[in-house]
Amino acid sequence: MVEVDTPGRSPASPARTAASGARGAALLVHSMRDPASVSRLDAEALDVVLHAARRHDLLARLEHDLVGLGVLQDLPEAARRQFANARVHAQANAVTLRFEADRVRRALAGLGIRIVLLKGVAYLWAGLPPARGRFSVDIDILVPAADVGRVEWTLVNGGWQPAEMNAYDQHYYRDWMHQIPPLTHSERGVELDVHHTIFPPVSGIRIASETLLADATPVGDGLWVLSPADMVLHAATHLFQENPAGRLRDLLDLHDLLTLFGQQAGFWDSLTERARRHGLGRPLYYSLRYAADLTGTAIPAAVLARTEAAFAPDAVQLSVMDWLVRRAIVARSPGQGGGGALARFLLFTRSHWIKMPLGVLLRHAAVKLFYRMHERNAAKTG
Amino acid sequence: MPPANTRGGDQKGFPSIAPACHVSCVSEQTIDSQTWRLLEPAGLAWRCWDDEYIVFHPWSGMTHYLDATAGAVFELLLDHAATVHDLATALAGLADTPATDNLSTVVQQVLHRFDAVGLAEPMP
Amino acid sequence: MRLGSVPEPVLRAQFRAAGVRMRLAGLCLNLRTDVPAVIGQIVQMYEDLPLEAGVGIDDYRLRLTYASPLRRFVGRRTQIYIEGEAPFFPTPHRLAYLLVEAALNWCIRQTVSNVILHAATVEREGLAVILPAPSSSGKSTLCAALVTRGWRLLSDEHAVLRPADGRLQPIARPISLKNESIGLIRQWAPDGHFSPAFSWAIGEDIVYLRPPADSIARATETARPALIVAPAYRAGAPVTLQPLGKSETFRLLVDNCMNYHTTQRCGFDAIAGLVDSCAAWRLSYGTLEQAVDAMEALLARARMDPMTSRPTITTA
Repeated sequence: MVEVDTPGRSPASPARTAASGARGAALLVHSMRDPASVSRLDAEALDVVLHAARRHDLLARLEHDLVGLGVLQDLPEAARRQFANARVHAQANAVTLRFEADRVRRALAGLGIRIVLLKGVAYLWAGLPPARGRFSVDIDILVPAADVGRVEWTLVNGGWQPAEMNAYDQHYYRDWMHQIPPLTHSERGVELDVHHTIFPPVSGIRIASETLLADATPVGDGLWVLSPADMVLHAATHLFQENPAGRLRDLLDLHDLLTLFGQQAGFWDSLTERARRHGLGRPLYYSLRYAADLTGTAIPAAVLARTEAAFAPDAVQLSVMDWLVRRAIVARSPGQGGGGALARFLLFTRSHWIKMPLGVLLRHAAVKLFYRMHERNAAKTG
Repeated sequence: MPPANTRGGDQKGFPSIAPACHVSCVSEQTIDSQTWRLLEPAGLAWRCWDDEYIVFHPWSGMTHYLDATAGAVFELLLDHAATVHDLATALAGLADTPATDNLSTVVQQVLHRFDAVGLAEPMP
Repeated sequence: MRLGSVPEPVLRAQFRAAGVRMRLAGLCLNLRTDVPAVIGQIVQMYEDLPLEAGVGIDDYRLRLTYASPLRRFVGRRTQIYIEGEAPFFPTPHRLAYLLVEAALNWCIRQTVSNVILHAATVEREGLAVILPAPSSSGKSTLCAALVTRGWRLLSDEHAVLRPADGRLQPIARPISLKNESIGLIRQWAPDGHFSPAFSWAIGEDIVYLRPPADSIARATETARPALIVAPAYRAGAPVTLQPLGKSETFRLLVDNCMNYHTTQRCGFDAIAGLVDSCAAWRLSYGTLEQAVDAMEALLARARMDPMTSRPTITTA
């Protein structure tokens, strides 16, 4: 756990700034783990938690938990005001997301293929704990790779518009990433991402998407979500193969899923076996390790030991990762400098390196730069 | 004011219901006897002013502007599900005119637009 | 405690350190800044603004500073951060005050517990008028003309509608005037308290007019909306008043609503309630005198029959 400090209010010196950022991070994590403790905070500490929660899109989730505990009304009006605002935003978002998922269902109903909802919209549709107070900006679905063309055609004819992008970006999405370029509905404006696997094939990690689809769980009205183990692995991949900086929300989602599914018979065995099959052992290991460490998730010791033995990196790499994640998963205020910023930068570089082999990454960066310059020149002369 | 690259902003999603969409190539009889119902009508709120209906649909979060014809179809469906034929007949009765094919086509167009915005759906 | 009552050196120190906590529009906004020139301008325009003492819960933390360490000395561009994010482009430091005003607008617009319309709102004799219109439509100019003729200012920019009771919440902030409007209002109200001019482009000036003392004193007093008037200024045109149909009024209000979709059923009910209970007009005018006279006439009519649903008069 991050050390708790008690700085003064003046942010004059960088050391004090870093310390207050660390305190804010500790307070936030503690408050999310134990929402009842929020009602015992003084005004100054409550202010710290509110701002930290907002920065991580956690205000509405915390509000939901405080309501459930019956302690929201005991908080000062200034706090309740912020919570109320966050709740309204989250509720409107849930309406938009649910309706959009239904429209996608309706548009693709005639194709007779399995549509698997992913991430936020999956939690929402299936009524899972991570859905509470959540704000997602787009819809993600997984479809069989062989049917991607038909799906894209049907959606474009059903009122969805492809994003405007140059040939290179098209190639990036289609051939290197795991989705077709984002679609946006022409009237409703919500973005839809259609995936055919949950990890970019270019990186050399092969995900057996056929099994993801085959093992999916039905959630009514012809829609599906990933099986519990696959859902956890997807969340783990999304967090630890990409940049985990500032993504406490996603770790809390993992905590929710592991806590819920961990009670199901056979879940842990299924989880580790699938991780092995899909080649996602490393992100699973990180998820279990940091969920246990930071969010207090109850994971059977035997499971932790097994995944550590099978999937953990060497001790040096692990301690670097420990340092990186603990420093950066809770974002301090921007411009704080010190370990936080360095950790964020290193994690950002790492996430790109994981997605693409180095040679490809360098070429990608060079081509993107060329296009940006080209567009700028075109704008000047055009 | 210096230009602001503000993020955020609000999303408005309420197109007017104008009867302008395509009817699929199925026999007239089949279309006429297809039953339609409102989709997730719980919590619907509306006003009728100057022969225009303004309908808020909580399930979709959208607000719809309906002209007099679409509004009449909406009110009829509020009572119970109905076929195109039923609706055309009822509309003709309200307007005190005969139920022509043209009226039937107009009703179909209204219903297809309702379907597109998630306000109504054909029953299986 | 009011902003203008704090001794200047103390205030400067507080702005630089923990920040000054200002109560505005039902929010507590913590502003920190190390740009000295802007402090005097804020005090001038917000002299009577209530402050919160000590440490507590802030709705938004604002920080106005130089765009980079280099920019403090070279080029001198400033930037304002709201909760660590910068929603606006960096600005020359002589225009830094504009960033403060823009940031305050931004904070007010985040509220979704109230329905926020892009409109001027004024009140007289217990009846409030909502003037919905996009930017550069002349609503701020008309608003300035009215409040310097005895109308109370609720806001020149945002109508804040409370869903619970349908009443309007005031935000007594300085009124922004642009370009030609500046000269017009200086002539109209020579005793007004104007800020210096901010020239942000060739031929583009902004001046702020401080609200009358009465408007500031009654800044916590809500008002009942009775009239909706869509203003349209056309130099030299004759004054006309056109009644607006109810569904047309609804569309007008939604088009000028900043959080309609997010407020969902609440927003629909609040705006439908306004349409049900207010008379609505489109007011075209060529001079401020015409507009102010027309508004007085509408108010008189509303006083006699506030629930009129189909007004029929026009004035030449």
